[in-house]
Amino acid sequence: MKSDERIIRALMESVREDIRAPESLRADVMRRVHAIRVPVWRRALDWVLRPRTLRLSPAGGLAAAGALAVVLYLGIGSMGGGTPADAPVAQENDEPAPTRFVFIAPEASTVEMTGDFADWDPGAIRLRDERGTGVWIADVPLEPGVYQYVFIVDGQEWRPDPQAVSQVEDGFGRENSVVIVSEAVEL
Amino acid sequence: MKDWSDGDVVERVLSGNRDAFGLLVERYQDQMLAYVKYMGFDDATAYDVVQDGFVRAFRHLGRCGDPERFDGWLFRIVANLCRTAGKRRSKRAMEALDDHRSTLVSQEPTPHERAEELDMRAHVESALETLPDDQREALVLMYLQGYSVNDIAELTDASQSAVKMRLKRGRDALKDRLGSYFTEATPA
Repeated sequence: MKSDERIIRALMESVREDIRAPESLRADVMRRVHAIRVPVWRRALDWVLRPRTLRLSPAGGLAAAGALAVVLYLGIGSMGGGTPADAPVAQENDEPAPTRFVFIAPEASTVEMTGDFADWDPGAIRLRDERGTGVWIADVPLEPGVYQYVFIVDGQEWRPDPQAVSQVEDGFGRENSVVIVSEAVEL
Repeated sequence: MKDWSDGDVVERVLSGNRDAFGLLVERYQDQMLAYVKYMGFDDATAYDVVQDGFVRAFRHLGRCGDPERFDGWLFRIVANLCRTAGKRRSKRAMEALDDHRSTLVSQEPTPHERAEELDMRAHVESALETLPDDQREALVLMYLQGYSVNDIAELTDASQSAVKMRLKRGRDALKDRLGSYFTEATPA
């Protein structure tokens, strides 16, 4: 090991402490955890999006495939007949419709966003650039209302949305963007 | 219960067992608190940042892509909170110096040797304060928390070459600011 590296190690070692979290930290975290009420739409979204491991024997797999084929056959067969009046009434969807956010940043490696709807958690929502063109997109389910938000480029740079309806000062010398989500109107 | 992997615990929490989240807090609170304090935050702010980090992790647990690597995901949340709490970072170097000077008289082996150790610590703390966050973070993760370059790249979502560059620049900056410790070690 070079002598400079040894010196660096010794210097860094001088600031090492035996750091133990106080007992109260766990208690304070758990008190807040137990107080959290998760909205139904958030629980539903997390349940749908959470990856799961499915284990199936070969026989079980064949049986499941056969059952799916029957369901599809019966389902497709029933679509040929009936009139629009026979169609089941669509159930009211309790989940809010997604609002699309678009941010153009060809130079970015990652783009995230946060705002009122994500408790200002910097890593809450990651945008995707599926075509590699620098056009980053996220679809976020939002109830009608007014929200402030901001984009975070490469985990470092906080940028407002140039396409937003308006910008507001955040009180820390930066600007947040504003989005207005309106009620869906039946035509 | 203590044999559960992080993935097992996450699965149970997501199934409704909130108490199980306490296991994750116990496993990683020391490590997270150490990181935040090494990044220059005073005790009270570090406590708040780590607490907020765990609560945010709980809120968004369903979005943890790899529950078996919960610690890495938690680290990114805590590191992001450190960046946004940057303005509240204060006086850690001076606090450390004051705390230790107050116990100077009773320390072994000799007061002179102990004073030198404490002065070195204060100088290193001050030098770290002047580094950009990414360089300081890389030095802390490698030298104080024992992570490899590969681990640091994964934790910070950076390439290995970016991590190596941050380490190099951080070391060069320390050498520049703490030059006397390097020249003292140079043989005549």
